Amino acid sequence: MKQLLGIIFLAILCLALFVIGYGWQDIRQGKAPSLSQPGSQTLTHVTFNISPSELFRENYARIASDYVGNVTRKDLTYAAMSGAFASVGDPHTVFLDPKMAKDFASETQGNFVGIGCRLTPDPLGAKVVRVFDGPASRAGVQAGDIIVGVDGEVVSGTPVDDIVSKIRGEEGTMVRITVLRGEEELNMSIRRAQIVMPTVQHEVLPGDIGFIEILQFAQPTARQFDQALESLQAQGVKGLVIDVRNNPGGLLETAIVMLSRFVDRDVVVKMEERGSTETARTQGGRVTVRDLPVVILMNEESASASEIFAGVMRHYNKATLVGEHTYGKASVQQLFSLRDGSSAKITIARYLLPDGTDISRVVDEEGEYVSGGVHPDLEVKPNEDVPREFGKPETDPQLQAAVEVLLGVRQVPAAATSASPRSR
Amino acid sequence: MKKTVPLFGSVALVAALASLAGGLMLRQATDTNTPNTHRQIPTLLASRDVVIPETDYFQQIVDLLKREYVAEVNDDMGLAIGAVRGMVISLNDPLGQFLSDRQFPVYQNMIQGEFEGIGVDLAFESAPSDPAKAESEESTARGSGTIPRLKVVEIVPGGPADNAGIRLGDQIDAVDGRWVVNSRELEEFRKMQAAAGTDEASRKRVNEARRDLQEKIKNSMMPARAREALLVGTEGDVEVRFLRDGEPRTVTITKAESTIPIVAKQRDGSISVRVAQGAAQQLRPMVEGQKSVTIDLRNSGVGNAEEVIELLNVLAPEGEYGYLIKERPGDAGEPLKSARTGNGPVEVRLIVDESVRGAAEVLALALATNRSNRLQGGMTAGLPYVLDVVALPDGSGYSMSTFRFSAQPNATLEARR
Repeated sequence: MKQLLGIIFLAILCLALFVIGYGWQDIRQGKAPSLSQPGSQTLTHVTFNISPSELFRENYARIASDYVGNVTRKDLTYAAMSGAFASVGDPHTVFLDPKMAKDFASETQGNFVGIGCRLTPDPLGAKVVRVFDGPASRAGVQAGDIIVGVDGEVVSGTPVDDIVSKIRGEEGTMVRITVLRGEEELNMSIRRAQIVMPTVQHEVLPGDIGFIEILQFAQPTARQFDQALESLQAQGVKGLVIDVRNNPGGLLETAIVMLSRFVDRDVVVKMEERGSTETARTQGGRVTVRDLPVVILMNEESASASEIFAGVMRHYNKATLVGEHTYGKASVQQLFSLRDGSSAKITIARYLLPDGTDISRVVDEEGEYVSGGVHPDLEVKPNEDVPREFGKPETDPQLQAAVEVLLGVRQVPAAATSASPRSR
Repeated sequence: MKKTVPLFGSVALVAALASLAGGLMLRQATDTNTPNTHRQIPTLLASRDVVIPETDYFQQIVDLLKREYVAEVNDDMGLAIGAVRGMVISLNDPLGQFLSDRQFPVYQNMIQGEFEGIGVDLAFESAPSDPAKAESEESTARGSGTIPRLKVVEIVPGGPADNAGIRLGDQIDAVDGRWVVNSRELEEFRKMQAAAGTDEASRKRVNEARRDLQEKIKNSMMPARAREALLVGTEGDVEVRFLRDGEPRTVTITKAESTIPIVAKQRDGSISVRVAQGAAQQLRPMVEGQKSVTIDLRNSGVGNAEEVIELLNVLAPEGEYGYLIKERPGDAGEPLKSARTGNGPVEVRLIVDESVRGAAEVLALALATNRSNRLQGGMTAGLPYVLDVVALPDGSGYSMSTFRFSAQPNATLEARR
């Protein structure tokens, strides 16, 4: 009861403040509100000379009370916070309302595991491009299978990310997938489990070209990379293709160790934090690759550590970049829990290339691309009509181009710089 | 303090489009000034009794960003305006919209009939016209946000676009070769994907469609940008590709100033009226003492709510003409009244079509509640809202629907959305 009285009192107070504030503001603008004369005012509300906080509050109150339709205060608050975050211009600094925050948390922190295959988009669902040692491989899933159903639900036309999250779940639980193999439809029940993903794979291609694919920059990646380098060099390769396509990044430390095989004791990354800049150098005396031409393959889904790896290699003239413009993410985010389950994801640090180039994607308030990412020296598009097979240039125009560059049969256009913007 | 690993999932086409949209749900259209709606309906002020529990939320967010964001955050006003922008966009207002600092002044002039750019008004349309499609529209909206289509809703007669052959209802598809993003095409692609057969030919077809769409997205612009490119500026050429009945056509238009007069006597004796400031004043001497008048309300969509009352005072005998209501329960609305003293027309014929929206549509529907008046021509737009206009300190601003016309008090409100 007391509370109710308080609310009523506050309501009256607000109303009074509004009425006074309205007139006062217009007078301060030098134009008294013309309540009797039509046509002498061009604007209803002029909200100058007030603090940002007041501006927010005033418009919040106006929208909540005056909008013709129903608005819930909560939704309005969340929309406001999203809008404020969007004005920062960093696509990774975002406000997450409680539902988004929950989804995000279960995606990143949940104990969710998969069945051990890699999927790419397919017109009919998701295509299995690789099967790792794990439950899927034991159940008989093969590369080339197309997943068209998950737990009885048709997934054709569903984005591959959504299919992946349908397949993933708590460790030990079962998932039933329907795959299309040729004309045949197969149902398989698979127990989800932790997968130890290989992070490096290598092969010698025709023409004595070494091919190393780095799937992500994880803890064991540097050691696996060293083994691959050793094995390929022992086989006398004349050039090296390092593939970071679709590599979402991972541990920066790993990338730095790997860069040490090419770049001796030099600055590879500048890390910018609030009020400080740190530099990271490669290890000294650990170079193992000399006089071997290197091409790095990258695409729009190469991000974070992948982009830094590629950008640094080019900076020190250790590699030619082939493929597509990269995604543009070289930053660290931290999650802050806010009230009623919402969160804020905020960029707290940024990595710069040795020359200070910031490769982070910048967008305007419409979300349109402004800058960011690493541009290839030689731009090559994939052929989406032919499924790409590992280490088979005939199925992979980007790999084909990389090999041709190393063999000297294909020229790279001059004057590409690390900061060259994506052409529009 | 646990740092999240800089790792992110693969970016599917939808996600790319969604990030292109910046998580925004755009929505917009036309408007009017509503300075004195409050004066006419004083009790509505009572609805302003908002207790703001989130008062300090904004300041907390600003403080958090200032403390933690990698670079210095100094532009508090920018954040506040961003917050306002976020709120306005979240409303999915059928007519109201957020307007950039470039668009806002142009918008205000447009209300008064003074146009820049190609001499049109463009609105965002995302409501499905066919209810059967509503379900699939919703599935697009889920997760990725709906990006509306940009449509021509008003044309300056004899203006640049009119001379170039642009017509009401044309959909803007590309500006200077850049595709104007809308989610309907994405939805169509998804449908095609889902319906595709397993044979080689249909796979190829789907892949081709995907590649086309990817290329389009790479060279694209958001609808709000396209709107600005077409409505702002008085010089230079702009290449416009538009769709009419699904068929693409391309024209090059030179931007220039163009004008729709507020009140003008037409050759056939009718009077064209724009619901803009001063319209009533100009109209009064022209209709005084007339028994019957024909008012052409077409291309008057952007309007001024205050002027609706003034025009009612000129065109309608003293009495009540429907209601201005809120689309929420427990708010009966307030009657629209004419307080005409003096001699005015007894009978008004109104020429309308789908360009009649906002304040003009309110006026038309209000007058039509009186049986001696008649609407003729086509259907009106179905958006009889009046708007409030708010200027923000950086030169941007927004408009917001505050009331909707209803012939009855708010009792039998059908759910509009």
